[in-house]
Amino acid sequence: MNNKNKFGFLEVIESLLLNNKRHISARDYIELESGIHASIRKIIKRHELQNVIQEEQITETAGNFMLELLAPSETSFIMKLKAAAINGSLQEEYGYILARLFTLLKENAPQNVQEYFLFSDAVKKTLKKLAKSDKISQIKLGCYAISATSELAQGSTISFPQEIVAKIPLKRQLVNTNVKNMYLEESIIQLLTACPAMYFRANVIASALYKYVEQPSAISIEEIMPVNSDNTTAKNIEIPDMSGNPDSQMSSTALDEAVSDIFALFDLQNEDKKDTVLLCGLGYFAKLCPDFFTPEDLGQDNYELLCASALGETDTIQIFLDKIAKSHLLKVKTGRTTTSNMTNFFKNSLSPLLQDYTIEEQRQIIRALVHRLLEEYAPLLKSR
Amino acid sequence: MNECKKIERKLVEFLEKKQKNPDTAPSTKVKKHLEACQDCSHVANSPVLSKLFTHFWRKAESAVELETPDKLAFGQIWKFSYGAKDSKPAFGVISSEKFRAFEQVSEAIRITPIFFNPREKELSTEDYHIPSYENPLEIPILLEYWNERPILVSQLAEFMGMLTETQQARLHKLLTNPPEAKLNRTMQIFREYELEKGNLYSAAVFNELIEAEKAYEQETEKAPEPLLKLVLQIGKQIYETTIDLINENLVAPLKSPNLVYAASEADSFKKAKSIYNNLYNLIEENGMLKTFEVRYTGQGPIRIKSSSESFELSFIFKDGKEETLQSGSANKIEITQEYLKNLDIAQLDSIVITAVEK
Repeated sequence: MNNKNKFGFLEVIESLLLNNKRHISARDYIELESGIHASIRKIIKRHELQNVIQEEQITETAGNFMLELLAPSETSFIMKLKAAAINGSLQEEYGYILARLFTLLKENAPQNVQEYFLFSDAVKKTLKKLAKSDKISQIKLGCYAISATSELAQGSTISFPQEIVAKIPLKRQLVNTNVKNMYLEESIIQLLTACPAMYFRANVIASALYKYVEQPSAISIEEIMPVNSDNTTAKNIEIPDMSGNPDSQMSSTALDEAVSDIFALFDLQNEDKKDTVLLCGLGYFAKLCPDFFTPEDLGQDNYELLCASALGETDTIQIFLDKIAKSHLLKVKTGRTTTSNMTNFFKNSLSPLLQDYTIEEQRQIIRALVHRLLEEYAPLLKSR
Repeated sequence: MNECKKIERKLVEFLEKKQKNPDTAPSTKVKKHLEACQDCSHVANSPVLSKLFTHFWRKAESAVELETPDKLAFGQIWKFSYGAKDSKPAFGVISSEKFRAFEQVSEAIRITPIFFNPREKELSTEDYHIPSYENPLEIPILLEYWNERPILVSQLAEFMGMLTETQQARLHKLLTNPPEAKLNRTMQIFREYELEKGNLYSAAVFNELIEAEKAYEQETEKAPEPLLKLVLQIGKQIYETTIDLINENLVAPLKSPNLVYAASEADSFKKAKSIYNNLYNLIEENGMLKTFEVRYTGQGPIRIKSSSESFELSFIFKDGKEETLQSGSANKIEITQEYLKNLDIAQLDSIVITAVEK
């Protein structure tokens, strides 16, 4: 979907919500419908759900979403969307809409799709666990390979090479074992070992493995993942008492989930511009909260530029991007206008994702996000 | 397209009937249009689109157009701009008359900033929030009476509606007699964040004042009477007052919870606010007047200035050590952010201002 169409349907939504006297024609409603359908398809593609979501679920999700616009009661989603519309921030509106569509898609999904989501979550958690214990390598955020030692090519974004999958024993294991955690780990390792020169997105791995689960109804997340005692969500954070109780700290699981949600939505919204947008975000945070960074994190040069120079925000980030582009041959455009747009894009995309959290929690999330960005882009921050 | 617009009312009436009774047949005119127009036909045949179409058509029909009032007045809700050109707008309720107390600066007005969709955890029992169905923006809003401040009239961009009389009365009461709110840390952090954002709203006012002052300083050595007036009219948000320094020490004991909080946060902005507050209290408690100013705009240095006397400002630490700053040729001391960064505020015992004979 190009930008004109994307924002075309958003403008229709904005006009409906703000009742701003713009004449809304039958054509506008058709544009609205097709924009929502296109957004749902984008989500499906990004999450590798092509094999599990049927056409009728797309229509049902789009219908439910459009009917929400009629809701006379104060749904939290509509109120947030309206606030973004009043602020005139289409990018922010788009963020809310994508997040809401994904939620509705999951809610509307029949049993088999719900099971797929559970399975996919379990695969993602297992991938993280395996990467943490160095059994596999995280090549970049959400992308994994058996090892990071060789020059890697990105594996198919649609499916795993069938001829390879057919040769490995994971099929038998997954079919016969109710997908216990240990078998899932083994299957992932086997799958990645079979393609040592490629890295794959987590969704591709989940989608490939799911085809070999014969009895999805037997899957339960508890079976797949060990029960985590530290799985409080953001919604369960206790309000600190009057003396300033340090319990207001979000749990690491809640922080991790919040940051993962942010990355997932950035991924969805920005696609090919993602790296530029996130690097602008990193530069923006370094400028805004230098206390979060050390010279070791950013490299001495970058630290001096981002955290200590008196240059303005856009100029600083532009120099930062330019430096990275030149020293690492990264394909990023580094013009001043592009930098300013991408930085604003970052801010506007982030804003809806933080909206539900208190300022105190937002600060913790931003710190965790900075940490994740530094991890993600560590190779680019070292001087060559 | 014009054809579509002409028949819209009849189409809406037909679709409303059809929603109640699916067997309803269209009139000849509507039928003819639906046969000719693919777009209208698609909408008419889709139950969801048809519902949206009729609902929002009726809503638009009954909407009352908002007319921008001739005069700015208390209780009006306005969208206003601030910061860089591409910054998102902000919203506020007008809470004063227009004023321009000094001819070199633009007209200003005080506003109470509005926060959209307030989060329950960040609201104190004293906060004033209005649900979506009781305000013209139709989203839940928080009126930040504790963040009331001046902006330039030229920042106002779009009239968005009015508070009701009851709401105006409640806001007025909160502004004139603010309740003492019990704040937990979450609420405190939210307010501080909003106050910092508020400083950006008012930056244009402050910048004009600073420019006006600079211009005046170039013309004369004495502090201008009109500028002092302006400062008093703008009120507490400019963080400025005047005192009479009468050859005696003014001592501020540092006991405020604000200071303890600032020390624990170790953030130069909070340090600056805390130091400012203590200087302010010191001057206010001593009931002094005329030529002494303490200013802090939320950015840059804290400026302490006497138009007639040289003075020293000493930070006395708990271990008896002392750091003294001396006023320069303009009888002015600036406590820079850099200085504050290195100041161990938790160890401070008191601040002393001493007049020094030239």
